[in-house]
Amino acid sequence: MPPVQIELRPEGAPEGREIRRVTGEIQGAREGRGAGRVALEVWNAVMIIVLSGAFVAGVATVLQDAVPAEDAAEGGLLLGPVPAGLLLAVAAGALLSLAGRLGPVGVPGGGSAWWLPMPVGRRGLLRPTVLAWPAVGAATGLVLGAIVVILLEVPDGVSVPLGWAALGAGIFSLVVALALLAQHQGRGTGGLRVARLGEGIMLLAVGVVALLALTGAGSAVADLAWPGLGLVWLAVPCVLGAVGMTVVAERRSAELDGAALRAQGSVMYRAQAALLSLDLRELSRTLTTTSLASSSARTRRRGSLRLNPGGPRRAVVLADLVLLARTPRSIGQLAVAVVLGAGAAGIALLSSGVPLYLTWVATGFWAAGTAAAGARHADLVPAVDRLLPLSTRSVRVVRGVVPLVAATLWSVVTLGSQALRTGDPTWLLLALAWAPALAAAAMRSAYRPPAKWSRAVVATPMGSVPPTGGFFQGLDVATVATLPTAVALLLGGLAPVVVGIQGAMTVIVVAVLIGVAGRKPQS
Amino acid sequence: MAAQPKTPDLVHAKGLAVGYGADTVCPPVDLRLRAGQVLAVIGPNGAGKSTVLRAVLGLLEPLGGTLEVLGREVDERSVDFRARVAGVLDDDAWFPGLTAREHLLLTAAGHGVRNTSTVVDAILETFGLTDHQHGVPSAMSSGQRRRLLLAAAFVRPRDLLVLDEPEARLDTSMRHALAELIREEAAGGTAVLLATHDPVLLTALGAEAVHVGATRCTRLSTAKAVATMSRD
Repeated sequence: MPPVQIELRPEGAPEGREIRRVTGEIQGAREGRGAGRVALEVWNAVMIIVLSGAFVAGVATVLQDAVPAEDAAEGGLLLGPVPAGLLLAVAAGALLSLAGRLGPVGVPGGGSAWWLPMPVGRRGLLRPTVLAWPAVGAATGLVLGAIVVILLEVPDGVSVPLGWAALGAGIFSLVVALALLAQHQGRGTGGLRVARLGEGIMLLAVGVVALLALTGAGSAVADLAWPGLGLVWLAVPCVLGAVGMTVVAERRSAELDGAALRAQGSVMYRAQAALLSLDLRELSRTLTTTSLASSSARTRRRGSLRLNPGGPRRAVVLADLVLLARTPRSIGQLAVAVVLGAGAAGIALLSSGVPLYLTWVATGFWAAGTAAAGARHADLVPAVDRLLPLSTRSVRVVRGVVPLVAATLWSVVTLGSQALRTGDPTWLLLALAWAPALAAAAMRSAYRPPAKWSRAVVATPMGSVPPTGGFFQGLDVATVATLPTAVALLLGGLAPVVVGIQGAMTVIVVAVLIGVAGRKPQS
Repeated sequence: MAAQPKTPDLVHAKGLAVGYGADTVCPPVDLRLRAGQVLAVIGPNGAGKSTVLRAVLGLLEPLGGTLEVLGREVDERSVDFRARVAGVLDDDAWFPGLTAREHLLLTAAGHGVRNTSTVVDAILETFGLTDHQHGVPSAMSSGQRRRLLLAAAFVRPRDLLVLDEPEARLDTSMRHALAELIREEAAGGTAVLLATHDPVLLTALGAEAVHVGATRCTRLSTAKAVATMSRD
């Protein structure tokens, strides 16, 4: 590579912002920054916004077309500003949790090893990161606020979406600014506290949404008038609060210690890679196991299990069950997936047809996947399984037992509630076919290729990430194996023959997956 | 025998307890290290050597006891601390797009080194990286990347040098060169604290060592430390 000149102030150690600038200039020179590069990035940003907008508008139109107006009015389905506010609360809680667990300020990759040991002011190094967070929060809230209104049947005119967009921007920027300030409390514990607060808000709001959907109480609040531009007056103090908190956090950023910045930077890097590869379980694992505050896990003592002799298969199943039981987050996710699956039919835009099918696939796959952590660990660290006197195929089949239990729970509750709602017990029979299909999908997902951290990183518009494989591995099986149910939902009724076809489809998919289990991929 | 001049300890730890969360990983450690001295921390894998070094570098809060570096309680957020204390841990992170030479130039410039090009050229030569200076670290071998990390510690000013298993991934000739470099460091007045598993390096340095055992930590002479390493 041709050498690049590094020029800093001649006298003494430079400022943090100078170091950041020089590093950026060298990287820019390597990556071909300049007018052409800037134009390309602007073009990319415009395309992303246009495509995202078109996608959201298209989905909203399809969903709204899928729900007949009379159904929405009389079926106890969720409409109006109350569910919209709850959905916004769910999103704000999720953002608070994410920001708290990510730091939100961290220094990933090269910065942690090469910038942080320098005797330069950290305020200058960290300023762009500190300021970027509330800005990103506000932009996210702006878009989500409008989307929520559009999804829950927008009234005529633009004042309502505009008002909700302003409210979203205000709340989301405030939430992120709160996480910024909390980072200064304790060594990583402040961030963890606001993350838990965010998770509490999220779970509470999800619970209320599910309650409205399951009890049909949504109709009581469906006729409330949508507040419009008046919401801007609620947004103004939120934005002012966010600005104030961000200014304080920025001024105090020099007090952030290197260990925390390194740890949060590492979490951020891995979370970014997991998000870009749509690996939500890896994202969850990253956010819950690698933050600074959880470093005590290294030395935490666990109670010993009393294991009765029963062979390697029993040991594997027991180990997976123990792992699930020792991960309250997974149990919580399983419960949420079950509630969402069962409650989907009570939400206006998800109550029938393709939207209901996609919700079932997503929540069912999620439920089975949360119970497949043992299989995922076994794939990433295969040494323990190699000690077992079992073939690779047998181990994989046995590792599927716990996901099967979780999938059965989800299938019985979700399809049972559909049977109750429609008065057709045939829906419950479908659980027999859905549970093995979902378990097989979860196993395929668990044994997907891991992210290749040792390989050269891949440049993306959201930063450099390691190459990874198997973006949709598992979800493909869940979708294909349950297609007969999709047809039934599209046609609006479940004939007994569909149950038979669904059963046959599941048997075929599971048999194929067991047949190929343990085979080495051809190079 | 002439009395040794009284110099303040650069590292002074008494009953230092280190670990994660509330749990310690090793028995309490006593450390005393003056300018121009080399002190090794030895012990089996998982004994807690690296954790002790992380505490000295301010990357981990002590759980108990006292720890002073440069005559003050450790505060890694202090610019003065970072200017005087250099550390090489097992980090393997790089700026994508920056060459080996540019990483060193950036480090030297960040520490206010004058004539950065000349200084960096000399360090590249010392660590056998001249031929690879225009390559990015991700394209280098793990041993070459280790050399680059060590070079970064030597390209900047320091009063205290903390090295975590510096011999790891280095070939024999580089290990010998490293021993010579560390001896020169000490002769120049720098205090060197290193964790090591290499009895040859320890012997070449003639350094005393603190053995981190399962139940207690003991300060040993070079000969006793080498003998202890063979039993660990």
